[in-house]
Amino acid sequence: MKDTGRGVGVVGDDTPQETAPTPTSDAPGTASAPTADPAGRQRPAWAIPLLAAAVVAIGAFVSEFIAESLVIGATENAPLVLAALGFALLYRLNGLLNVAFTETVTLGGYFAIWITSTTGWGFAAAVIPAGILSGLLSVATYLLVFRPAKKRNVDGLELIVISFGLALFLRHALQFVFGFRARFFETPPPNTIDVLGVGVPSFRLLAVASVAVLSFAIYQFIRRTSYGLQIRALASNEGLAESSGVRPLNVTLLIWFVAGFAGGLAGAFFGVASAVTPLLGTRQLLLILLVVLVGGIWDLLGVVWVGAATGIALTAMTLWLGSDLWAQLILIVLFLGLLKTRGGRLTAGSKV
Amino acid sequence: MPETAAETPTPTTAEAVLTISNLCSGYGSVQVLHDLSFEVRNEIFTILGANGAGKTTLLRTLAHLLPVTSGSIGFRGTDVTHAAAHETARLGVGYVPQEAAVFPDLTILENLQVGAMIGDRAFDECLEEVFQTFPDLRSKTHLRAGNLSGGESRMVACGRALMQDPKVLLLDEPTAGLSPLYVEQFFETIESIHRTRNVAVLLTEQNATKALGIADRVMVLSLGEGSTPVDAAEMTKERLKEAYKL
Amino acid sequence: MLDWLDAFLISGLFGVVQIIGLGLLVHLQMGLTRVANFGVAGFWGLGLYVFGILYGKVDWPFGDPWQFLVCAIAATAASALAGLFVAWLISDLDVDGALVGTLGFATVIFLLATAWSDLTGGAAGLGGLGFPYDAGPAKTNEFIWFVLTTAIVAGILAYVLWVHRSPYGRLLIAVGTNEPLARSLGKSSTRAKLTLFTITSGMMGLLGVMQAVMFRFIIPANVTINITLAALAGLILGGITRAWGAVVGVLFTVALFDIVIQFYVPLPQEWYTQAIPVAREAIFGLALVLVLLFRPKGMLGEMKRPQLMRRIHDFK
Repeated sequence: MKDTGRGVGVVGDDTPQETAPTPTSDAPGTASAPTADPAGRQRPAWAIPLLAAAVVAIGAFVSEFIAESLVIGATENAPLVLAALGFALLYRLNGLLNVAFTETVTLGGYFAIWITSTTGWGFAAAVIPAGILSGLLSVATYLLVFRPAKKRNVDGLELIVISFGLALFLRHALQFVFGFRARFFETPPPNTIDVLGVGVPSFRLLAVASVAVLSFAIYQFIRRTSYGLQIRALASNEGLAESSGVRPLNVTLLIWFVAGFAGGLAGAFFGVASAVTPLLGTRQLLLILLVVLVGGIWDLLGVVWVGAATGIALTAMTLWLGSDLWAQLILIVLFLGLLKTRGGRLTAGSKV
Repeated sequence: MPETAAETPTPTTAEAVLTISNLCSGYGSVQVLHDLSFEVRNEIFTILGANGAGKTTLLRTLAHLLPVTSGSIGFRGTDVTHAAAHETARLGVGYVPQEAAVFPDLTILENLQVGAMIGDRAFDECLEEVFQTFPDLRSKTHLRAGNLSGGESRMVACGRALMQDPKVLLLDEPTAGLSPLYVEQFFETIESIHRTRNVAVLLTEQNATKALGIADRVMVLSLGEGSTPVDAAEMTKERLKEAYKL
Repeated sequence: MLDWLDAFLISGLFGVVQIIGLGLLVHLQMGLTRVANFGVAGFWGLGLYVFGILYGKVDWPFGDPWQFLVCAIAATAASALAGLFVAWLISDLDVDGALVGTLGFATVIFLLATAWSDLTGGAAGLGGLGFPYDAGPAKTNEFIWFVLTTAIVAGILAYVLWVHRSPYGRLLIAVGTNEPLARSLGKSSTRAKLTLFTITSGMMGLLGVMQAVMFRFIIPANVTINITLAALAGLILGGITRAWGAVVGVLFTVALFDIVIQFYVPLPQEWYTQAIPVAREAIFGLALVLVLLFRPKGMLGEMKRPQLMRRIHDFK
């Protein structure tokens, strides 16, 4: 019985959060109306997943299919949530749709492999250093490309094209460093842990834990600390933030580092699950974009919940249809439909 | 009442808070300000000018949100011509733009907290002072600033700047778009801020008569060029017309 | 007769012409009207696959050239309809939404090509295609096809030049520069965009058809974002707002790599399998970044508006 909370994993991490001021009974109502409610923006992001978690956890005992979808979906796709979280940090707090973010994911995988193979450390030990390296790479891309671009007043469409160009460059240039072929971790096979009757490799649980810890930490950091306030002020009105004494460069570099760190972790976890290839991050681009845009109706945690829900739905459909390609296809079509029905409001509401 | 207040020019006024010499500035290749020189003492210094005279450009330049093309800006004896916006803010320049003057996505309280990140005074003390100046804000601290009315967001903007505990307050047309009732009240508030907190105020206005009522000295800006600042009392209609080049 | 040409050179030139064609069409969408389209591969690939499936999998009661013509028209129409649909999908979204919409469409096409293997042959590919004529040796057939494709791309260029001079082009520029203003002047910017996407996507589909016939074999790997980015790199290097931008830019990107370096620069043989194709993409990416940072209007520079307007008046 007690296992349910653990098994849900991503969903279970809200217990330590101070939910006291936001318990709400109108969750389903607010869910269908994404108009930003001034005070309670984050309310649906908390309430809906709680409700969904309860329903689904009960279901897990009733059906093996639900249990499998849940456990595999939440654990296998935890890296997707991490990646979406990092992407959303840049998108919402720096107003930049950075396609090249996916390359910090890819390189996170390569960094982790490089660290394990040169130091002989285990995978778990290599994850954090890999994240740090990706974070630094992310900062470098900001300083070398996006900051100059901003100074030259490069705007919307051109900025996206620049990020596509940077992604294309990194994705191919890295092959001259790390080789053209797919690379594999040479770490011993991980032990498997039984969750709700489904065997889960230990590194996947580590990925879930990272999602939980990182999203909780980032949320607290942004909502409750003075640095977080500066970040939000900068995102909300840049000139005013500067003339209020916010040091824009410090704050921005911090966002880019944390985003790259999350991306790097995602890449390491993606990589250890199969292989590290140059296309590792790019393959996730569209899903990340969709999760960030749709999850962005709410706050950053909305991205985490939508990411987790996407992962579970993807696994459920894959199990049901027997093909991950069709599952992805259906999911993309659903998301695009959502994008259309929500219209301009969806993207507008997702900034900040 | 304002009469008596204006009667007593404090002895400290002689010292310049802001010194602007031969300032030129603009947007890219378009020069808007031409060779401006004046100083702001511990006073209410009003810049009058029509639309497009360069008032906003001047204040944005003084807040260092626009680069100086040539000339210099001194702040209490130090040269800050090429300082960054956040550096001058930390020195004591509080800037309240005419548009986009609040953080729309933050609550009123958070807006004020952003202001309080610099300045040495205790947060609660500053907050209490802001609430005394703008009592209407006290009960609304958890509202999103983006949802406020024009007058309310002007209060939040001023409050935020005051939380910085500034030495000089740059107010860009603080009463533009406000209802006449508010305008009167707002000018009184500005005056009391100047008197009680010992803050120099540099404000721009289109509405000459109202602004002259509280100003110590006045300068007229026309097509980016400034007149010689004069005492507000000496600013007669004729001189005003002449300065406006009418 | 064609001794100076070898089969590789023909396919290299063919590739250059294809990318020029796509670049010209992207110019109309992104350069003039400023609607983001990161799904070029999808529209092109739809034409490629619809043609391949209709031509290779359906028993037609008539042979070539009618079989080719019917299939090509159907494929072009399919891409045009897809263009209309995607334009409707993104019509009320901002540039971020347009990115997701167009990229999503291209991904859907790619996934369908891979997953619907009964129809598309899946990852193994789809064959059974050929030239709708037989003029002798394979090289001659390919050369004729190359000339035909070049003629189509020349037609696209002529169309682009016409758009630049026409009131329709002026409307597109107005929508691209200031959409609310264009709307307030009573122009339907949505209809302008829908028309634009229908026409240009149809042409992208036709280029896909030409590709399918030339290579006689289709795999999903043809239909990736790399082709979108190649067209974009060429166009932006040349000048995104200029009619000739794609032509000039592609000569300095795709043509430089796929023809000059492939055939005329003596490089170690083993580089050609991986190092050069990978370096090609890396350099395209770098070119996109550097051009947009340091010379955002490309080699040809800013669109000459006064001259353009004068020409509009002369035209009238």
